[in-house]
Amino acid sequence: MTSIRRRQVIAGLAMAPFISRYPLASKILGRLVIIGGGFAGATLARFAKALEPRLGVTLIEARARYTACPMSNLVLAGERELNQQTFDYKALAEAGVQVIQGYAVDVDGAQQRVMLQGGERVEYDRLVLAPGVQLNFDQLSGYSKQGAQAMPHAWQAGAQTTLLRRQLQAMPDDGLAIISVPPAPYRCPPGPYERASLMASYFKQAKPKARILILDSNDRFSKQALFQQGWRDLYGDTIRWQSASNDGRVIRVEPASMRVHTDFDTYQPHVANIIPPQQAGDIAHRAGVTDSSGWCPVESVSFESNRQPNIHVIGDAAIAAPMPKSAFAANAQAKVCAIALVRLFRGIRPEPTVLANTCYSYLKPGHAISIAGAYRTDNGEFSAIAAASGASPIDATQALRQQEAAHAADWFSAITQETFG
Amino acid sequence: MLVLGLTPCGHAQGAPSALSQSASQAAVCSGCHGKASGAAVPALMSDARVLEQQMLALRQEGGASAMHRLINAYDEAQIRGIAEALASQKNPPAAQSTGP
Repeated sequence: MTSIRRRQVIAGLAMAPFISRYPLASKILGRLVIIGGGFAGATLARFAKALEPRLGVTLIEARARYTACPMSNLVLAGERELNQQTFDYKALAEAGVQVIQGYAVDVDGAQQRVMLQGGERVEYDRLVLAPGVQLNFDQLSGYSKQGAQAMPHAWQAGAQTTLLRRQLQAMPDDGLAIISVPPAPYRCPPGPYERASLMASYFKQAKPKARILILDSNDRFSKQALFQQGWRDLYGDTIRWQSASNDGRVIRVEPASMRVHTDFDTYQPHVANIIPPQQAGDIAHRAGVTDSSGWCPVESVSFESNRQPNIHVIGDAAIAAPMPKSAFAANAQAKVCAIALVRLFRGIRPEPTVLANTCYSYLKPGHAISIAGAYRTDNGEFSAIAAASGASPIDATQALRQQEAAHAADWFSAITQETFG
Repeated sequence: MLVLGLTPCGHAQGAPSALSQSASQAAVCSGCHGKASGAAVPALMSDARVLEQQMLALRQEGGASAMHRLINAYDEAQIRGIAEALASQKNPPAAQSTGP
């Protein structure tokens, strides 16, 4: 079909001067457009431009500033300020990336163009979608964007983080906070459990009688043994975890009356942190690159969608399991995808690589655990390398937990510097 | 099927070094290892031989950090390639200074 013809046109770029339907600067190798300026999209834009200055690189991002989720659980605990989480796009613009502050409303794959909310069109030779996650409020009965004002999700950092922090501060000293965990997959698998840990750390200082109940739609979770050991050692019985099989799945909420329902129980907590089910960001659905799961299947070497040619998907929106949906994974995928894209623009076949991920979680400030994984991308799929995958040892010294917290802090500095400058 | 008309180029030697398989594997490193050494995570600014020895040493140490786990993903040839890629990018693209 037409996809073959388009691919031939792109493939021809390396051999011939750029032949385009569009007016182009004469020396440009091709036009790379990225939607979404998080850890995936911003990294890719910057890295691709540095790797191949002849590429026209355009980043479309709705917000002027990005608020990072990693480390934002420390903000909830009062250990960090939200402004330490925020970044802008000046360094990308200075590096030669054209940054368009706008909201992409549609993608026309046949015409290879992106439609912006204001009516403008941005044409591409290859498009990278890095929209992150969209919160599916309507998949949890009673929940809504409005309801998230009473029952914050705080799963996209910013005003929601501040709101949840204020609610925790205002909560009675012997109050109950609930964290509702959605069914996997969702962004940041260990995030809810790190959040419980850091809330408990705050309670230990400020409200020692307060309790935390985790209502989970899953039966297992990331770094489970490490978290549960840490909770016992550090917080006694402050944190209780209820698995899906133990009536942990939240099926309905009533934000107005602060009621949270499972199959067999109703709770009325003082704070309800409701993390809703998730899927790929809206633009991925409009671009036709999602499958019935709501996420985006991709070819493992180039991250090209297997539904639409010339559209690549990276970061949380992509199906790269067993890689988790994490900032580290997004940044790593972005760099590998950038190399693959520059090869494609030059007419060189991309090669499989080895990807990696590391996620640090704080059990309390200055005290962290990690999970690491490495992944092959050959044979058309992502596969974990067993020898390289695993979590921190269960019986570790305080010194190791402190060292991992130092690693986490350095990681955040390095990745945000690389991504945003 | 792969893209029609692409130059078959299965090996790193045929590609510019910044686009090689080793460079792709090495690109992951800068997620943690910034251009300046942090309190706990070092910058990777040594020459290739030193970096290679350091990575090989990690495998022998049997330590408990995330890097002690991740290093097991790579065989000796990959480690050498990654070290060479890192050393050839003392100013890796995404870590270049972008202004004041």
